[in-house]
Amino acid sequence: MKLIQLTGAEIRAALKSRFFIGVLAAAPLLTGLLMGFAFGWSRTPREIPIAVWNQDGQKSSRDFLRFVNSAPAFRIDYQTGDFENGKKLIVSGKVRGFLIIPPDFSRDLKSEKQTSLVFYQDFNFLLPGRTLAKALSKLESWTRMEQTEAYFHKNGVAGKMADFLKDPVRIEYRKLFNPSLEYARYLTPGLLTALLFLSLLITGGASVFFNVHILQDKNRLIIPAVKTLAFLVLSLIPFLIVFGVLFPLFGLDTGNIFILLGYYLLFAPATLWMGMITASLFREPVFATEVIMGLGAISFTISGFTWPRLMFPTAYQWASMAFPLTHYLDECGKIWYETGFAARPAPLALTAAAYGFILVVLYRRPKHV
Amino acid sequence: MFKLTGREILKREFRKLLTREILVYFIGAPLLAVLVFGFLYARRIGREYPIIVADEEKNAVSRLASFYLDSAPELDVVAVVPSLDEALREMKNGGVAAVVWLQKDLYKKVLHKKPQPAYVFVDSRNLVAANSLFTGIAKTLGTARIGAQLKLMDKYFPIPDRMDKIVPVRVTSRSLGNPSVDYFLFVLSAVFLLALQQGILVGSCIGVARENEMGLMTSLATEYGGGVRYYFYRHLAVFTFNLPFILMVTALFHIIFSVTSRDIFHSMIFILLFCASVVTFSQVLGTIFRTRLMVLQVLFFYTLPVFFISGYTFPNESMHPVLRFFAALLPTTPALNAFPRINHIEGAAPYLNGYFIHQTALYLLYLGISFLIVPIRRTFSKPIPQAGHEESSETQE
Repeated sequence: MKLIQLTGAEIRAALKSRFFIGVLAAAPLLTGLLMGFAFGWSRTPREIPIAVWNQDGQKSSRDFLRFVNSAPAFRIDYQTGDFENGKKLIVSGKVRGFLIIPPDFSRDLKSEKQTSLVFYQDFNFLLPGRTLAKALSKLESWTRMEQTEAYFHKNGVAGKMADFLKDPVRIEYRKLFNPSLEYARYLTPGLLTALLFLSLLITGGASVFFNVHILQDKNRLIIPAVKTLAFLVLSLIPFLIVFGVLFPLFGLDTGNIFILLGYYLLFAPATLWMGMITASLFREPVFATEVIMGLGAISFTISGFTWPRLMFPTAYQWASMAFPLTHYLDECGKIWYETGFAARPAPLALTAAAYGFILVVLYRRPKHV
Repeated sequence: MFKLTGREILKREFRKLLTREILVYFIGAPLLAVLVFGFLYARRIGREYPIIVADEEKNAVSRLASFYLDSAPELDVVAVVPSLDEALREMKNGGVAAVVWLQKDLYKKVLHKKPQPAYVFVDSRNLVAANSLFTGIAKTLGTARIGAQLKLMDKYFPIPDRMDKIVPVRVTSRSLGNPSVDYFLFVLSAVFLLALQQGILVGSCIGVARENEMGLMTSLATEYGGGVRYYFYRHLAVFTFNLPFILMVTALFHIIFSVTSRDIFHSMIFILLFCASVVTFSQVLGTIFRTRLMVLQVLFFYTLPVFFISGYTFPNESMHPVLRFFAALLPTTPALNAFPRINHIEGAAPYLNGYFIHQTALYLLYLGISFLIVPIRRTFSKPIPQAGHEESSETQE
C-alpha cells in the first residue's frame, strides 16, 4: 500500500515537472516529427537530378534520354555540351549523376554493334549513388531486351525461341518484408524507437536526482522500486506517442501492438535501470547526463539496425548486448514486418534482469547517491 | 577606453576553458567518438552475409552456381539444402539473410528451350544488408546467366559478335568519389565532423550556460566593455583554444584509419570554418538554454535528427522544402555535403564555393545573433535554477 502511495506521489510530481514532460512527451514528439518528415516526404529517393551530355544528338539517343527521364529515379536537369561542365555540376552537388552518350551511339545501334555509355556519379553519398546505379542497371536490362527482341525479329527468330534466347534463365528477386525497398519504411521505425530509448535513458538518469528528499528516510530498496514503478507507468506516454501517433502518421506498420507492448514492458525498465545505474555511479547530475549522452550517441549504431552486427569486431558485438535497444529492435523488426520469425524475449529479459540486479546491489550500498 | 584590453579578455577566457568539464568535451569526446566508430566500421564494406542455396536440381550445374555464389565477397553460402521449405525455415530462425532457390529440372528445361526462373528471397528489412546481397547475387548469377545465354546462342543461333547482340547498350559507371562504395569511408567522414561538432558545441555551450547559472554574464559583459565584446572575444578564445585539438583529431582520422585526403589545404580550411560556425552557434544555444543541465538535455536529442536531415544519408532534394530550409540553418549541413567531396574528389574545391559561402554565412549569422542577444540581456538577470533540478525545489516547497 505504502509503495502504491509513494508511486502515485512520484507520478504526480513528475507530471508537474517541465523537464519530464519535455523528455517523455515533447522531445519524442517533436524530434520524431522532424525525422519522420525528413524521410516521409518522398519515402524513397526519386527524381534524382542528373546532367546529360548527348554527343550523338540523333533520334535514337534522344529517345533513349526520354526513356531515362521517364524512370522514377531520374530527372534530367541539365543538358551540357562538355565534360568539364558536367563534372562541375556533379561536384558542386547540383546533380547526382552525369551521363555521357557517345557520338556514335545511333550508328552503333543501327549497325548492331555494342555501344558504351559512361555514367559518372558520386558514391560519397551512398543512397543516391546506389539508387542511380540500380535504376541504371534496370534501364540497361530493358534496353537490352528491346534491342535483342528487335534483332531476333529481323533475323526471323520469333515466338518461343526468341523468348527463350532473349532470357533463358531469369533471376527473380523476391524482396521479403519491405518489397518496395522504401527507405522511410526501413529507417524511420528504427529511429523512432531509438528516440524512445534516449527518452527513457535520460528519464532513468534524471529520476535518481528527482524528488529524493521524499524517500530519504525510507528503506533503501523502496527508492528504486518507487522510481521504477512510477516511471514505468509514465514511459507509456512516449510509447503511445511513437507507436500510437507517429507510426500511423508516417504510414508505418506497428504489427501487433500488444506484442510490441509486451516487449516494451521488458525494454522500458531495462532502459530506465541503465540510466539509473549510470546516474547512481556518477552521482552528479551534469556529469551523469554527460555519460548518458555518450551512451545514447552510440546506442543506435551499435544496435546493428543499420550496419549489421555481423560486421562488428567481436568486442563490439558483445558490447551491443548490453544495450536494451539492440534486443528490442531485433524483436520489433519481427513484429513490425510480421515476419513470423521465432520470437526471442530471453535476451531482453536477461538484460533487464542484469540491470535490475546491479541496481539493487548499488542501492544496498550505504552511499548510493 | 575599455576596462580590459582584448588580449586581457582572451587570457581570462583561456583560463576559464581550462576546466575538466570543458576539456573532456573538447578533447575526450571527439577523440573517443572517432576511435569507437572507426573500429566499429573496420570491415569497411558488407561482406560474407550468410545465405542458403535451396538446390532442388542437384547436378553439376547447380553445384557450380552455389560455388559461384560462395565466391562473391559479399556472400557466404552457409548451407545447401534440398528444398525451399527447409531453406525458408532456416531463414525464419534468423540464421541467414537470403535464399537462392534453384528449381528441379532447371537445367533440363533450359536444354528443352524453356526459359526458366531462378528465385532469390532476400530479407529486405535492413537495406544496407539487402543492398550488399543484391549486389553479390546479381554479380554472380548475372554473370552465370550471360554465360548460359552466350552458350545457348552459340548452339541455336550461331552468329558472329554474339555479345553485341545480347548486350547492345552497356553503361559503365564511374565514381568520382568513394569508388569502392566503402561504407566505412561514408560513415567515418560524417562521424568525424559530428564528433568535432559535438565536442565543441557541448563544451562551449556548457561554458556559457555555467556563467549564466552563476549569474556572471551581466557582470562579465560590463567588465569586458559590452555584450558584443564578450561574445566576440569568447568565440575567438574558444576557437583558438580548440585549434590544436581539431588538428589532432583530424590527424587521427587521416592517419589511424588511412583516410587519404585529395586536398588537405582546402579540407583544413573548411574544417576550421565549420568549427568556427559551431562555436558561434554554441554561444547562441548556451545563452538561450540557461543551465548546463538544460543544454545537455537539449543536445541529447540534437545530433540524431541533425545528421539525418543534413542530406548526407537521404538526399536533401527528396526532403520537404521547409525541412531543407531548416537544415540549411544548421552548421553541419554544408559541412557534411562539402567535406567528403573536398576529401575524396580530386580538384573539387573550386566547384564548392557555394558551400564555403554557406558555411561562412552561418558563422556570421550566429555571431550576429549572439550580438543581438545583447539588448535582451535582461533575461540573464532572471533567477536561474541550480544545476540540480528545478522540480526538486518546487516539490520541496
